[in-house]
Amino acid sequence: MKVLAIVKTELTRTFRWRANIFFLLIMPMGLILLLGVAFGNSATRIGVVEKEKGQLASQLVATLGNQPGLDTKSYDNLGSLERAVERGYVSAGLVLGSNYDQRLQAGKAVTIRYFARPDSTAPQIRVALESSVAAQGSALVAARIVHSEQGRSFKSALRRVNAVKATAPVGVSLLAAGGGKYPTGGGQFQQSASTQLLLFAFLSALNGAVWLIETRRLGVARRMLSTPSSSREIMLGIVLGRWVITLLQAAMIVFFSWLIFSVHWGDPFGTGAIILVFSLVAVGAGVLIGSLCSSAQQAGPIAMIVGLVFAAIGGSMEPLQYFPATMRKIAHITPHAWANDAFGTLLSNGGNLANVWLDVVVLGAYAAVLLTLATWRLRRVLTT
Amino acid sequence: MRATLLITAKDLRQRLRDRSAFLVAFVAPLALAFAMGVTISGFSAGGATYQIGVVNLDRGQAATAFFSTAEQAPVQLNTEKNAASARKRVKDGKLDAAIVLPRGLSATFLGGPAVQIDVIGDRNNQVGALVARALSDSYASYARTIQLAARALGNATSSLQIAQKGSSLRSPVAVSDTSTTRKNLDPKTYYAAAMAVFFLFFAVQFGISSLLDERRDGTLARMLAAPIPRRAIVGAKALTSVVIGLTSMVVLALTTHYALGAHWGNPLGIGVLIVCAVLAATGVTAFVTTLAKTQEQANAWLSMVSIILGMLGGSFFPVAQAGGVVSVLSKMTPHAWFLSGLQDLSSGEPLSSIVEPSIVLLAIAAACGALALVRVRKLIEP
Repeated sequence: MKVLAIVKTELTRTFRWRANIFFLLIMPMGLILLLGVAFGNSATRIGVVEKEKGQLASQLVATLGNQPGLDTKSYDNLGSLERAVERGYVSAGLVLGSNYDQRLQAGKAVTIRYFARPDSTAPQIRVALESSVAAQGSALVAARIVHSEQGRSFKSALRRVNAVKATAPVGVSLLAAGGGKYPTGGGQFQQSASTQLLLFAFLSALNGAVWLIETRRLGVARRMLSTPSSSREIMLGIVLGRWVITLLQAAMIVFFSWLIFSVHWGDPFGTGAIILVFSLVAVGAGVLIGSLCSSAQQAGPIAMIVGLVFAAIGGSMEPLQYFPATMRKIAHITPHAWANDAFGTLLSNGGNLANVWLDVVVLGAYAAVLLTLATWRLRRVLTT
Repeated sequence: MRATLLITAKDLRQRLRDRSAFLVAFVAPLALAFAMGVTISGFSAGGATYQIGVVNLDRGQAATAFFSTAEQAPVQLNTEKNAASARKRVKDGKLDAAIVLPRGLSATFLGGPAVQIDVIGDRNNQVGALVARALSDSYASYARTIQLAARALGNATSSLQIAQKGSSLRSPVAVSDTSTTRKNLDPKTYYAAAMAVFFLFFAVQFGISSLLDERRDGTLARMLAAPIPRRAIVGAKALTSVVIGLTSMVVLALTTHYALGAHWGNPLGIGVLIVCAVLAATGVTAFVTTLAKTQEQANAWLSMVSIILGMLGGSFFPVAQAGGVVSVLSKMTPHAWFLSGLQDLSSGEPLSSIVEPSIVLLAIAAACGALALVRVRKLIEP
């Protein structure tokens, strides 16, 4: 009962300022939703300059734009395309020369210029471009062979090839490793909502460190100790209070992303378990920092560094799937990586609690270690 | 003036003593620039190789052709025993994707029935799946080319003979990839700069927001009782912010240049941009501080404002790609202007290209600074 009273005090102190509601709950959620609008279902964009809108050139651009996850955007000249790539408005640029159609129709080779931003989408775009080029090349290469075998002009060879009734001798189908068809689309937001949830829940729970120092500085903790309540009850109250706040934040993100963007959060038990343990890990880390630092000026930056660095390494800024293999292993020193893995299984592979039990156990171990250290340290700080 | 300098010197000494400024201004941005560097930019264009498993159920000549079409792609092909083991290795993350070459693939070149290549991808590794799929698509185009040619030539030449033509089967369209030779702002420099400007907003807090500390601890009242004009006190706090901000940015630029190999570009242009960014950060921070009543409120609000501005301004995500509302909002952040000025400089644009970003940064500084000046009077009333 006393524990609940302490939890209530913590909550009252936090939300007495309306501004805290805005800054701790509404603003992170707003940002996640905003990024959702921005990146929601957007494809990777490739800027294209077609110096002459020939039939073949347009065909290549259309094929490229039809590739899964890619979109093309037209630019007037090289200068504006280069600027767009530099500024990151598009991920890559493609320049088709003015004689593209003319040379290809005449059976000659052409070179198209391509440049990409050095980011994680670059290899994907490059391979997609190669396959679009290959698709367009089919008829042209066949015509070249007919031209060299039969000695007729390239133009008539191309006519002959185009007249041939073609079937697709080899088809390609994409299957999911877990069985069934590979999902197309679904949107990046599906993934970004869960990774952002982890980033913000962790960051704001760590900021609880500043709050804890404030509790110590104002003497709230000492006054609680002077009442007939054990230090265990007090610490339980403090930890629970922070936990409730973190869970509130997570719940709001889950609810509104579902309401507004119909982000689907998978198995409620699995997702619930991950959010519960992950929040506990975050609270443990926050209380530990709060008990190790002596001033809010120290705790604030440390919480920020730990929160952002862990998020970056743990795949909450750039998805883990883009990491090089070694980096992906190293990432698993952070709780984020485990939680992100679990969300991957739950949200995109339709798993349930049984599929993520290992992640839950690992996160639980993190929470146990951090909370043990934190309460041990906090008891010393509070009682001596 | 003397009073201003005295207070500034006192503030700087205080911040040096509790090491907090050191953490925010140097350790944090370097740690994060490094973390972002190894995760995000650790694999620049062409740097990543995808591990793709190939299950060859065909055992004919078709597989050889398949391997040769994949020569150009950023992949490493590993032969797998059967589809089940490949599927498992994809699921376990050992392979980025797997490709199953079906029985009868070679036979299609002899007029056999159409077959299907299965690409096995993991839902959590979409890039790997798309790369494997694109590879297979390229191969399907190759098969189609041969079929077209064979049919156009009639029965005179068999598909197999055509398939043996090797290099003459290459598409007439060559892609010349000039990504690596371009003078883009490389990711290392981008994130070094992005983190520097992101933490700049935290570093400058030490000046202005310490007014709230001084008020709480009663030292503000004592300063007001002394023969010091109020202007001098506010000026000193702003000066502290500017000094910490400038030092942080300059040291970070030098450190990342020499230690991480970041290329910031023309020193004069960088200098101007840094000064403008520091002033803008000081202005924004001062304004938010004057809205708060207590130090902890100010801390919480400033953190949130800095994080939001940083995220919108492109410190963490490529916001520029988003378009729409977000790119408009992005243009309202000092971060976006600073970084775009830097991008222009590094891509070899003339020095005059930083005029626009500099003016916008100064305007932000002036607008927020003016609002802060109006509100700060309330804060330092005795």
